[in-house]
Amino acid sequence: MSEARFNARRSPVGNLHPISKLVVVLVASLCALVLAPRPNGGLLAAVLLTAILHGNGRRFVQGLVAVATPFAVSLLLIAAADPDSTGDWWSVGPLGLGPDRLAWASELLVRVMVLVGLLQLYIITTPLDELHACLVRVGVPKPLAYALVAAAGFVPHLRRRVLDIRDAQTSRGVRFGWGSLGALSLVGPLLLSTLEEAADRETALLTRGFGLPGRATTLADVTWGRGDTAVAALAVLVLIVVFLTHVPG
Amino acid sequence: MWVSAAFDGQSPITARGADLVRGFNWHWAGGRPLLFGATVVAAAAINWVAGLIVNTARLPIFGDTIGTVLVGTLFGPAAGAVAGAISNLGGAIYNPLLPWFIMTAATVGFLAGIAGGLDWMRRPWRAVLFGGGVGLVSAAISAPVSAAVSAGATPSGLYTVLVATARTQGLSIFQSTYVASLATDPLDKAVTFGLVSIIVSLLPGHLHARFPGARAEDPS
Repeated sequence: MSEARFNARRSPVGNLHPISKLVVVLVASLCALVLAPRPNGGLLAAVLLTAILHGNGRRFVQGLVAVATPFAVSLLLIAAADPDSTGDWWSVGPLGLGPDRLAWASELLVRVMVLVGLLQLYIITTPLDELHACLVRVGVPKPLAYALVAAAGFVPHLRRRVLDIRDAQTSRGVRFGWGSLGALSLVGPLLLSTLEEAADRETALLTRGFGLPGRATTLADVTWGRGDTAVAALAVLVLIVVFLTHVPG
Repeated sequence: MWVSAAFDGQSPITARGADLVRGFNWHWAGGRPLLFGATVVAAAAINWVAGLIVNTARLPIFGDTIGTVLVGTLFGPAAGAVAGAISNLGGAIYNPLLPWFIMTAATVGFLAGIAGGLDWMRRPWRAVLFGGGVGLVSAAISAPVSAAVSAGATPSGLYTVLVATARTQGLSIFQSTYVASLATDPLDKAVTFGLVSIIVSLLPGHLHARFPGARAEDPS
């Protein structure tokens, strides 16, 4: 799985407020679902162009391909099983391959890539400390805001622990591999050691004054500018137009 | 400008919201907000890593709600729902399609909290049965989302094969994703609830004392 991380380079998109960017991502995602397939090619091109302008083009494409490849294989299999397709080039049993099936799979793959790309773009252009600061400012309780942004950083640490537990279990004779239930032997030690760490983290947060009442201060500088108002207003306008023109009744 | 003030936390509305949050009653998280926050961080990471482990081993389950079920069991239904939602939102970094399944994760966490509250998570066979039922509910919620977002295509090989097999029988995409979800979710949730039940019963004494839902039953 790709791990598209934040790129510290400032760009027009990177300078936007995390909430105005979130509004754009939500509206564009809804458009990708409701208006499919027409605007999705253009949306994908716009997402790619924005990532390139932000200075993350190569890494962004690598991440997108890593996520999209298993979906492409899945979509081809499901398209091959479509009982209503005609004009196949090749068929065996209930499966077939032809232009209709390929067109359907490509259309859906582009939609998945747009949805994935929009979120990846948000992640690479939004520093976690800014996201945390703006969540707290708009009233999200501190422990919840902390949980949302800290979880991502915890995964590499947990992966290292999984490898340690795996080594220990291997030395006890547990076998790991395709279809092996050995993987389940990792879960118990992983959960117990992680709960231990959660209890330690609570102590660490208490000592850092996380539980104190009052307005939290932050080093991150997040301000809502005119550009944010314009971008959010435009996104809401697009949403209203799409709703009025495409929602029946 | 009022929009700017609102998002900078300085407008009367957000100030009032901040007051409400300061007076937030954390009883739904066992009255321990920091322990809850720290456990949700761990639970979300467990969900993603366990999902990866299970996927690598090609087991016919997902394993990506173990952390959510654990939080629901230890802190209660509302906490489980919040943990599921946060896990799926934060998980966008590792799987950008996860946020679309936020309702499923929240429901699983909520139901795990109910099972914990009814004391069913202390007996593995009851947890397994309850997990199977939760699997039916989560299948009913996740199948239409899976059909609408990716036409049933997922990185999980087994799920895709089930959708394709159902399609060859003439079922629509929506019907096929329901068949695949009903075939995989109950088993997945039964295994997940069973594992969490065993682990909660094996918690060492000092953790039993710290986590509200893990405290031993009063013998009286």
